[in-house]
Amino acid sequence: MPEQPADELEELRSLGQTLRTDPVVWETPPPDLWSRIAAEAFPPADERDAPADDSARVVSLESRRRPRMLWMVGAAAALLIAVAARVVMTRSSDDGTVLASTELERLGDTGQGSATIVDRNGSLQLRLDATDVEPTDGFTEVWLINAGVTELISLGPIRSDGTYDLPAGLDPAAFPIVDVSFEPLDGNPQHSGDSVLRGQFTF
Amino acid sequence: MQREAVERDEADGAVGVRWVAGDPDALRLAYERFGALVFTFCARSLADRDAAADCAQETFVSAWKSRDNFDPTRGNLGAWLLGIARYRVMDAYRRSARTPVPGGDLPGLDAASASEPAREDQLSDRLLVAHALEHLQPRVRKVVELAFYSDLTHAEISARTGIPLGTVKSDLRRGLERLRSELAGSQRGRAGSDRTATESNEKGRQDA
Repeated sequence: MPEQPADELEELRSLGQTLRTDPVVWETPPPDLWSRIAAEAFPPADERDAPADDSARVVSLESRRRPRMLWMVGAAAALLIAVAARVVMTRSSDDGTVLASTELERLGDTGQGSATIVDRNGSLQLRLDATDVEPTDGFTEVWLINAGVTELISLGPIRSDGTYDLPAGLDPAAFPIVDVSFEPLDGNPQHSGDSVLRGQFTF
Repeated sequence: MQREAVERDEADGAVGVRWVAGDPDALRLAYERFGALVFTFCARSLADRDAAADCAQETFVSAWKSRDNFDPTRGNLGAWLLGIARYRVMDAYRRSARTPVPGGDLPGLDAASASEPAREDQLSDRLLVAHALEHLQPRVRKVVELAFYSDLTHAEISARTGIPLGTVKSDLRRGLERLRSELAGSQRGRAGSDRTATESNEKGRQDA
């Protein structure tokens, strides 16, 4: 092979290898794509300032950066979550150590919540506070997913106490995504693809 | 290293920094810079322009809502966006692949979909490399492309282009560093473990 830093040339070639045989042809996005994104990402002001019950729709990480919005959204969400949370918290007041927590992003039409991974004397638990996640058909299932979204671990149907034991020996950092889905009662153990809430832990 | 990468690439860096700061313009800037990248990824994966537009829309919106999760020290914004797009593509696959379970052969259940993640990884890397290439300085791009598409040595590239040997070497190094940083945070940037893991049946894992 070539002279001196041959490995650099080789690395470059390995990066470019697939382009050699199969050059990339860019697709042009439809002209309205940006306006669609902007409309969804930046709802009109009146919608943002809507009454509390409505503003629960926009619970997201975004609200952290907007104190006023956070306050309104937070008030709505907190009320809803507080009830569920209290059940969980009082039930296990020897709570253990919180390793990570996340707000859940709404992917479907309903639902909101948050999730926490707790270390309780060496055994790990997921605590899920989720509301408005009852499907019209089928059932609601809770999952942990790896960052590459290629591996899933089912934690089973949603539980009213919100507490899920993680499989012993599981590294929660390897499955940092928590997902809540609607599943039909069809005996198919796979994820339906119909996720309603999702969040990602940072450990 | 990543810090340097962010500084070296002013345009990407500026978008990344503003993104982290929650500047509303950052979403538009990110779309201008990475819109075609994300849309092309979705279109190639889903082979349907309408589904691809939905996928790209969901990607940018959910990326924006989750922008706190983007860490510019751990990867490039384009790679991060493609990671999210990949997520959306997988969701679309799952929705469409949800057909009745074929009799008995459990390990084979995912035979078709198991190959998808690896294919998405390759596509993602290929698009990121092509995207990065287009944003290199013209001279650097020229020598990197020669290195890509030929088997020329440094000296031969120098002779072919009339660019001094030392400059060829430093340009290639810069190009390589740029491409590496562009892939940081992508599937390729991670240890290869994700790829082999995709072979496993998703649900079968819970038994392990």
